[in-house]
Amino acid sequence: MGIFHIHKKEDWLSKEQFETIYKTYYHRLYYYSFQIIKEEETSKDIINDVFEKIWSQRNKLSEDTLSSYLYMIVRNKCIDYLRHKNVEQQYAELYDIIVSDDSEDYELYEDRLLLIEKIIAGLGEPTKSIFTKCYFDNKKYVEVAQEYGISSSGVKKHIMKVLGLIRKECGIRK
Amino acid sequence: MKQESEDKLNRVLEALENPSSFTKKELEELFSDEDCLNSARDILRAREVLARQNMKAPDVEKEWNKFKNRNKRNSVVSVIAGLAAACILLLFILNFPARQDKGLKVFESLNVSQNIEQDTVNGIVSVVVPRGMQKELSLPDGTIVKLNADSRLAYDITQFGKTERKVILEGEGLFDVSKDSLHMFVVQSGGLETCVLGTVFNVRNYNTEKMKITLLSGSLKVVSSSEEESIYIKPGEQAVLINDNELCSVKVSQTDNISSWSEGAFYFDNQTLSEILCEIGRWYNVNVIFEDKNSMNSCLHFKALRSESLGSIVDLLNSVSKKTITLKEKTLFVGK
Repeated sequence: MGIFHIHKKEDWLSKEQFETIYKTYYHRLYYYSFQIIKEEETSKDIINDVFEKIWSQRNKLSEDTLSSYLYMIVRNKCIDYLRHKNVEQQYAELYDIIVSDDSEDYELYEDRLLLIEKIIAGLGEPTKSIFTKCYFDNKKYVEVAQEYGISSSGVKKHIMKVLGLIRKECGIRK
Repeated sequence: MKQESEDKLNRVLEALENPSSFTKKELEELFSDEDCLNSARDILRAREVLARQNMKAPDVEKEWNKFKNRNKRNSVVSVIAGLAAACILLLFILNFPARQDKGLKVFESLNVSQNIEQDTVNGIVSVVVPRGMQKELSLPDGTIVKLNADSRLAYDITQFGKTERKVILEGEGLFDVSKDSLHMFVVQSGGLETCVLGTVFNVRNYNTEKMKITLLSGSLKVVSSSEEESIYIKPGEQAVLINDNELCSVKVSQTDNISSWSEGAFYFDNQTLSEILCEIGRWYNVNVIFEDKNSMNSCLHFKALRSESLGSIVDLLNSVSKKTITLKEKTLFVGK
């Protein structure tokens, strides 16, 4: 039996509305999960877990808070996943502290991502590759330093330069 | 003042890479500083942006269909959380091998870890993927490796890339090797070494079957460890090790099914029931027993998603197989 067998007519969220929500948010949540984990299949499973939870709680949810609630459960489930993997427990603690969980306005959030995208696209080399290797390929600063024949603190200087640009462009707002 | 904020940022970058060198309290203290917190958040957002740019977009229609047909038991997090219960159950079953004497056991479930383990000891990086999971990782040269269930990969990070790029594999891995014409990429597995400069290929070395190396693109050389034999294979060909040291190349009609595991699917094109059930046993960690060993070689064409529950896989199999397959506790029985 599929997941919708408990559907009742009086729900504010019909199956069709739910499908729209699913398809609207899927990509955004999927990529958001990469802030915390980098395993495509796990992310897909987690996102589906989240929607399963949303569906089961649809009577208790309101439309206004749905968006931030979605992000919040994705965040928590990803951190929870790390916590259950022994080697990554300390990452779970770290992300629990830094990954934003307040009900940010996700339209503003999209704007900020677009700005960051523009800044990254405009970076010169080797700053752009160094930044990508550190935070997308998840290489250690030492490894990247070796690759470019510079010191670790040299690598960090490149990263701080990128951070400086983001802060300057986006202002100090959160 | 500038120096002070640079020091703070340095600590933030350190914490992002290696949080285990901080206590929880130190982390909390560091990120109680608004600047530090916002810098860390920006880096994570940048990581999200990079993922949007570089990761293949998921197929939402496909995920939606998966979601509609999903059973509650498929969730990763709950599978991991349910580990303890599963272990106890497994121990219980292992102590009562009641009806396992009948028939031929071709695959055995194991009481193994349910975590992907990744660590570095004395410069040796090792990754262990248990049954029922798979893992994608990138090596220092940018090569992408997808490891199938029940597989191990290791390499020496202090030597990797110096004269060659060498890794050791047990189980199955799909390699997308970064081009580097100066440093040979070598996969050592079983008694064979696969040598390439940049290409996509799959190495499959499970003890339930012959070792196979399949080339998807580029070109590749396979050398036996004793260096007595070597062959070159072309895309769409497979090097198979027979009789422990005899190497031969065979054409593969379709390479799709070779790498389908890396996309989360079971895909068997006219393979024996025994091969199929061993692979399913490896993913769900269950025993496989043939009550009549003549059934082992009947061939099937079978396709399914690895995210399905074992129960629905068994149902699907029964709809195409002449032999009845039943799941009892942690064992698949194939009837006469």
